Amino acid sequence: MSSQFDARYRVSPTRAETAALRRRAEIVVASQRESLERIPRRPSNIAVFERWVESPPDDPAHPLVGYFCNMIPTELISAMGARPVRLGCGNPALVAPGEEVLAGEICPLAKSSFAQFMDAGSVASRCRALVVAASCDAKRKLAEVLDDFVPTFVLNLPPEQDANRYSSMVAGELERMARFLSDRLGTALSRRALRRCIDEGQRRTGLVRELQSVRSKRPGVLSIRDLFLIVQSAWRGVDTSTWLDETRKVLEEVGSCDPMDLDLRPRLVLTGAPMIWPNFKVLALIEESGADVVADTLCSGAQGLFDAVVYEETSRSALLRALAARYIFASACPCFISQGTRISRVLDLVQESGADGVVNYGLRLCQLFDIETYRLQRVLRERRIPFMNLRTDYSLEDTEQLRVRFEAFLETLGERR
Amino acid sequence: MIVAGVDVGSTTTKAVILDGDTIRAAVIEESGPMPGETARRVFARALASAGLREADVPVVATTGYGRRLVDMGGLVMTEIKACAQGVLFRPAPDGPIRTIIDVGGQDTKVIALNDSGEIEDFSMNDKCAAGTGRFLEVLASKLGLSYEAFVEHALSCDTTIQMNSTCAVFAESEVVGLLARNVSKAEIAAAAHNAIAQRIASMVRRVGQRGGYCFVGGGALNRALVRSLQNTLGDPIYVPENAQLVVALGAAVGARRRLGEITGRGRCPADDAEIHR
Amino acid sequence: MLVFRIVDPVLRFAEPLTSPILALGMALLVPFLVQRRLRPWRLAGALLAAVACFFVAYRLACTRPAAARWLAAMNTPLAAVFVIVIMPAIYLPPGRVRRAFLAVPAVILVLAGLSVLDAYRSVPPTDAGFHWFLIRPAWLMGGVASLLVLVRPVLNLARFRFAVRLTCLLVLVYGGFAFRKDYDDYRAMLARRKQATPGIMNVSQAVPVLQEEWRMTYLPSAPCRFAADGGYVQGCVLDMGQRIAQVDYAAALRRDPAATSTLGVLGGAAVLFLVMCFVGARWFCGWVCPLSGLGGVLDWLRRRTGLYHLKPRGMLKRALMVAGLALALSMLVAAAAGAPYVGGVGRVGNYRVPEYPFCKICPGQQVCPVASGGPAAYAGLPTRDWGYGFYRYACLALLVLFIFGFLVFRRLWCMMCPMGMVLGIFNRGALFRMVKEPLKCNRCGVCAEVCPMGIDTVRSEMQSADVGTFDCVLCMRCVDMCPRDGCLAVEHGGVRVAESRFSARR
Repeated sequence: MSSQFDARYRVSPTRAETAALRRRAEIVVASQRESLERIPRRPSNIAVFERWVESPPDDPAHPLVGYFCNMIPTELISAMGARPVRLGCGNPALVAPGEEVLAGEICPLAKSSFAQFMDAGSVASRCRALVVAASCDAKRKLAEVLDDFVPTFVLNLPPEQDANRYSSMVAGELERMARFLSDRLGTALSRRALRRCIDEGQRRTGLVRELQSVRSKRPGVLSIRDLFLIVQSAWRGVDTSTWLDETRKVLEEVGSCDPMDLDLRPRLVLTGAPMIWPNFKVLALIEESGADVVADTLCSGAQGLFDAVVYEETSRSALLRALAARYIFASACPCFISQGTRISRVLDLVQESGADGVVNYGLRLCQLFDIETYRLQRVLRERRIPFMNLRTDYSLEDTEQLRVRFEAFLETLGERR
Repeated sequence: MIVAGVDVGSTTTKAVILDGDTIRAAVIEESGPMPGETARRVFARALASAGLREADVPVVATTGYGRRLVDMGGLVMTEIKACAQGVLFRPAPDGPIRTIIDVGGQDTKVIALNDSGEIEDFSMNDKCAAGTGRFLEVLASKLGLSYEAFVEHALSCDTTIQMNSTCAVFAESEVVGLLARNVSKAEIAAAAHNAIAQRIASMVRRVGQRGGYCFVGGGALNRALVRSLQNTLGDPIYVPENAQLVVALGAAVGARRRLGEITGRGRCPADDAEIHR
Repeated sequence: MLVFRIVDPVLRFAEPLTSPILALGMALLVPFLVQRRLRPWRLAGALLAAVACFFVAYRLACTRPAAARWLAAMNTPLAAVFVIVIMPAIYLPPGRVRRAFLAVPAVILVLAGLSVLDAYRSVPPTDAGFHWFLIRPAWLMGGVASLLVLVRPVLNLARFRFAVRLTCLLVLVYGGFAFRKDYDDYRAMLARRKQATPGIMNVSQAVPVLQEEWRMTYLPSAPCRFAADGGYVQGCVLDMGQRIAQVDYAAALRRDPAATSTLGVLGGAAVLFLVMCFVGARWFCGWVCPLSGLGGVLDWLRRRTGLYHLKPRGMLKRALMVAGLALALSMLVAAAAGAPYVGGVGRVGNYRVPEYPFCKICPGQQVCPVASGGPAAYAGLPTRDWGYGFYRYACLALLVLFIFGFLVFRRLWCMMCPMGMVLGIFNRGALFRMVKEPLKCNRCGVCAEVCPMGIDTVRSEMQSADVGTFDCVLCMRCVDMCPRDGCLAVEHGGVRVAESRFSARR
């Protein structure tokens, strides 16, 4: 299969001084771990998830295939005998090195993700192949750059989420992706393997829905940060059945314990841009200021595993379309031009969970979320739902400024209750 | 009911002691490098000036950037809420207050109120010096003037010169250029005030331009800035007396309400008088 | 049998329960009362009072012979089964009363079994052996409905639908010989088989199980009476339509007794038919129709091969609908114009018209005999001398469309089926409602993907909660597959009968 990129202009990969890079990254991780330790109630096996989210377990039989974006169907990668590992980076220490090589005014996720590749020993560099969804400009151009490091495939997405019009197109793109992976991995896509992975994915969704339902009633039993760790570790090259076992233990524990602060803390729905470990600054801020996130629409949070792939017919085409339906057409990402899905999801969650307000995490330098916030704010205002926009990037320096804004928002909620 | 509010700001620290509806004491001091110590000192000065002891004040509310740096055993609230409560303490002469503009030493806030006096929206600029008092201080020193002289110069003339309002550092170099072109210091001063007023006006528009303006904070004492802002917004602006103390006063009002809740006497009648509609 | 000596008089007394007028009344009254959230006893009381009033009115009406004939012409055990078994199964909320109610279908099922044994008692000892299921229609319908009601809680929606479709297929296609009324009826059927098989153009009189002098029972959708030995019911709406077209209205106006009595019988059948349409709408197409059941076998073959299906575009669907409508109307006109029919042949000028012109081109008359009687029962295509070859080629074309449509397109035939179109009119405004909660929809499009009729409205409608369409056959695959809990639901008379629930499928 011919590459999507022009072979004439390949550039040799840029590498950085690894030791300094890793040290700085570790400092950030350590500081976030410290704030996690202050959480009063944590599941007893949370250390497993913390380990997974930092580095995937070793498994020579199943090579790593890195991917960016929640819209890549991981079942397809798993069915071909590889382990999908999500490579979006949330470490502020990696933003500056990435910025030095790429451009400055692009999204911090792109910069830091690129910087991962500058370390030849990182998880990212050890991937056999990369799959990037062409969801936003940053990812599209990033893919081109990353092809010099690891063979990359760009999954083209439709501009509108119109399944009627674009279902065949996406199925075609997924076939292309399967061919690319087949060339790199030397395996073929079988319907039986794909069905098995989809069924496992359905079990995963079932668990996440149960966790979500427990948290929605009693958020005190599991911190939103721990929930994010659990969910994000599912995308880090961990064998699904192992993840299911550990998460079931968590569900048992939280299902049986008494909540603290029942109904006393303000309940919020979180929406906005991805928050990938260790970029948990805003989550820590919310919980430490005395509020709870009862539901979220983040592709990097519970929403990312909330929907399941459902299929009726088992032909190859039908299975690929089923993947397209859940991963592309059901996505709440603002990169598509009509955002009814996302706004509906926010409104539905507010209604269902009886939330007191909505907090939007606006990532600086992301035009999609900036313009999206404009509409979301107005729709919520019309419905008299309290709304707060926390617009920030990865750096930890503006924490106090965010804190005063967020506390003022909580105070206005306090007046209303 | 005697309560106190302490505003631990980044430039100045203020304390207000409130007895029912009367202000018994009000003290301002430069914050300096140790805001916790300054806060205690300022509070002590206020007590002394009112002739009270610490035990006479059951609730102390702290607010401002350093609100958590000093533990006064009482309430902690954000300066946004405190600002709104302080402004509504006395009725405004020209009708209900809908928008509060607080220009401080290192930050600027715009707070939008709804008809019941609740905070509907707010916008803060605390990341960049442009649009804060710092901007004017920097330019004053560039012109070799004291702050007061700078303000006087600005008041003395109207100018049409447009100055860069995006960055204080750029504005500094722009001043050098203007001086080289023999533009008078008065005009530069006036242009600087207009620039900052424009920046504040764009923050006001972001929360919705709704009239009923009230200007508080250290910047409100700058008559040139009040004038520039009035011209830019096109509506009269009310500057309450003790404009710089409004946030500390608001903290005290919050403390009073809390005391009313604790003692079970509910809201003091004076609390209801806050909402002057 | 002793039990029947008690039960039969009760059944005769309860004859008004078999009136579709009561069924319609209950279908309107029960949802109305249920939505008012009355206490259970009050609800039961109100319903019993309504039934009692109806009984009295019915008996009074029957004192007049004309009214009695009309009422008798529209009665059917299906109406009684609907009121006693099916409606409570739908409308009773879960709880003690519902659990208690389950005794009713259990008893009916037992009685149905006993009815078979009772019928076998009339078989003379010389003919002892297996004679299929000799069962009176009332007990067959009651037994089948009871069995399905009892089995419902154990199966998920997809499997339940399969069970219902399979049962209806067996009864409607094989019912002609497997479920005869009693031993004499069975012997008469065997005698009819010994006669020479007439050509396809002469087959006009088959003897369905439910045939009686004064009554015809038609089912909505396409139960073809050309299944072996007449099938179970009289036929489909176009059979009824052709008969209505062939009535000698001039004679009827002259009060000719034969014509008026035919008209009366057809009138009664039409009333029953319309009530069934109102109550079920196109659900009959999705769950009952044996043509779609047979087509489903072809669809299953395709799935086994792992091939994807083709999707008809909007233009093709509209063209099919127009073609189906045009064919149906032209055949009805031909049926009317060809009267009087002598020996199954009518004439319109030089044009020879068979007695049931639509049936001759309908794939039902090609497929159902083979499905029920094997290849030997195939009666061939119409010959070229009828209608200048129109019947032959139209029949061939529709047969190819039927087979190819189900094999490659999922439900292409249903998009032109005139029988389904009559039902489609009742899809909006009658008792069935397809509802959606747009706030919960994530636009994944799985509903559109699994829809055999290629409907996109369920996916694309984001403003209103009502997403019923003319085409929808209420197969409920979309509701079953939707991954968002509570997003899609099907309501009957305001009560939810199915709702999307992700966990329910696994």
